[in-house]
Amino acid sequence: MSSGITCRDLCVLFPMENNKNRRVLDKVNARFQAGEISIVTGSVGAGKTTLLNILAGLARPTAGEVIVNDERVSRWTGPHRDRWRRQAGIVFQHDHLLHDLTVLENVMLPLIPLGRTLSTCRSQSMEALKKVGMLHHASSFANSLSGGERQKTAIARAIVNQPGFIFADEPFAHLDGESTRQMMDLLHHHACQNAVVIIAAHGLNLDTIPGNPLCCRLENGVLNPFNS
Amino acid sequence: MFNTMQIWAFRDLLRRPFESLLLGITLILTVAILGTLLLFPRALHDTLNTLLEAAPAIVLRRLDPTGFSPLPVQASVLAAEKVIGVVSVRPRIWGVVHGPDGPLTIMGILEEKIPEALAGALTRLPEPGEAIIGFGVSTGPSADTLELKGVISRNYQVIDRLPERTSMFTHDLVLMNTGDARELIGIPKGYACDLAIDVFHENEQDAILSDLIDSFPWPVECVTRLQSQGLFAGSLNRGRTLVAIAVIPAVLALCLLVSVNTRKSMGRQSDLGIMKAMGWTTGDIIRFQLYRELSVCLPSTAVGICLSFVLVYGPGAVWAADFFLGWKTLPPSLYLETTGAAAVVLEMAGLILVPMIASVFLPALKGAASDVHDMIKDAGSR
Repeated sequence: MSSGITCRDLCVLFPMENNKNRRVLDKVNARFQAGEISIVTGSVGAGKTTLLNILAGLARPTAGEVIVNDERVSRWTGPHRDRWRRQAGIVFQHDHLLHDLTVLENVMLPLIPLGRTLSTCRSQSMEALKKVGMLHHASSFANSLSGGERQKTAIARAIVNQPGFIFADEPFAHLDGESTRQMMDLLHHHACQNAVVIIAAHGLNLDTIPGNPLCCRLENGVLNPFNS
Repeated sequence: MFNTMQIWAFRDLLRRPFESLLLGITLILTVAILGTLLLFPRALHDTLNTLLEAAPAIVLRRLDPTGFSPLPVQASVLAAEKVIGVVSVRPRIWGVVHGPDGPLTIMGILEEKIPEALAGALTRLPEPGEAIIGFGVSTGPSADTLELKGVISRNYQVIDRLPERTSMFTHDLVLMNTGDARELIGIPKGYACDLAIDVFHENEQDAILSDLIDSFPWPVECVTRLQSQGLFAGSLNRGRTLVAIAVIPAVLALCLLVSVNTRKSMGRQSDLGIMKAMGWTTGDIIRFQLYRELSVCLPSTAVGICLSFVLVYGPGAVWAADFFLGWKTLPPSLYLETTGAAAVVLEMAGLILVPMIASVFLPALKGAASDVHDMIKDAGSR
């Protein structure tokens, strides 16, 4: 498992139409510890998704570094970052399930390149689906699910490999209160197993978060910690 | 037997069964057409070469003001045999006559002069009024008798059919008693149509031509094996040019297929991006796509190549011979030369597999060069 992720002077500039750049992240410095859930809040367009994408190695920062276990992950080449992502579970804002796969196959996806047998992949995925309460939908196709069910499937896919890092972008947006609490407990359980769990969410009731979460607000590109 | 990635790739094909089936059938047909176009001229070339290798080194015929005329056997054999370098002289009695289904070649057979190609194929020699027919000879309404029309018209009793393995040499051949053959083509006794001459060294055949011509008291014409090869090579080249033109649409169809496949793979960039986000490396994606494409391409190419071999060398040759050469009757078996056939198989495999595999690499390599976030951006609306 992991000890944490550190951001050092993380800057992201987005080019705009008038040849100017929009500063989405401005020298973000933070440390996300394993063992507890970290929450990044902020208004719409504050840059939460961008921050998560960079932490997960899906995009590169304009400047600054992401450091994991003393390794500068953000400086790695594509193939290294691809390989590193095997330790990460990602829940996208738009669930990004593959339409022509069943729920079970979508959850199996991260396990396929790991060289495990198909039956191992299947049983591991069934276990993950059971945890999110989607076992009865295992053979349904992704496009036949409701928004909440898709989100639960995406969470199952993120945790199926027992990852050391979980990056979840608005994972409860389509879930009711009870489901949100269940999913939060599930993610907290993974955090307790020494995983780094970072959740980007706006409008989240922070009282529902179990344990002692690290809460940060992203405003004008700057990340500020605050007490929940 | 199969690893997880291979099974996953195969399952991916089954997720779009109609598309995969259509791709497979299209590939089989394209390979079969291309293979036939490439294989047929090669088969003809190899067959003609084999036939010519079995032919005599020199064929000598007597000329007179009306064209060719029969030559006296005894005097001719003596004249030819005294030329230094000549190994054997075989007088031949043969000609073309009308059979029930078109022209047939008849040959008078002498016991002591059985052609090498027929050695072992004959159980007994034909008596007067009897005939042994080649594999492609149709006897007409009666299976036992064969009506032939030459100088005279007569029915012959069919006593045997030459085996299929000799078909290359004996396809439209009717073997008969020498007397019957003379009678049918109007050659008097003691005369032959031509002389089949074998020489000591293959490269001597040109050198002894002048000696051979000088040794006869009447004008003769000699045709060497090399001259025949040159003659056939000319018509084969013409055929090859026609085939090359016919190959162009097939190759264009193949290019279209590859381009559609590449576009299809490129269209799945967002899916590839999601897979990369889930921990798939570029290598994993290439392996996955390679297994998926090979699951369709390898069997389709193999079936297509087999089909083209059947079309050219098997019963399907009727179609190919009719299409390319306008032969309406059963064509002779073509000679299958291993090296030539292997070259066509390699050519076909290269033509199909290399572009198809390239169409797999292209999207994966494009994905390797871009950020995963950019790859899945267009899937945001899902």
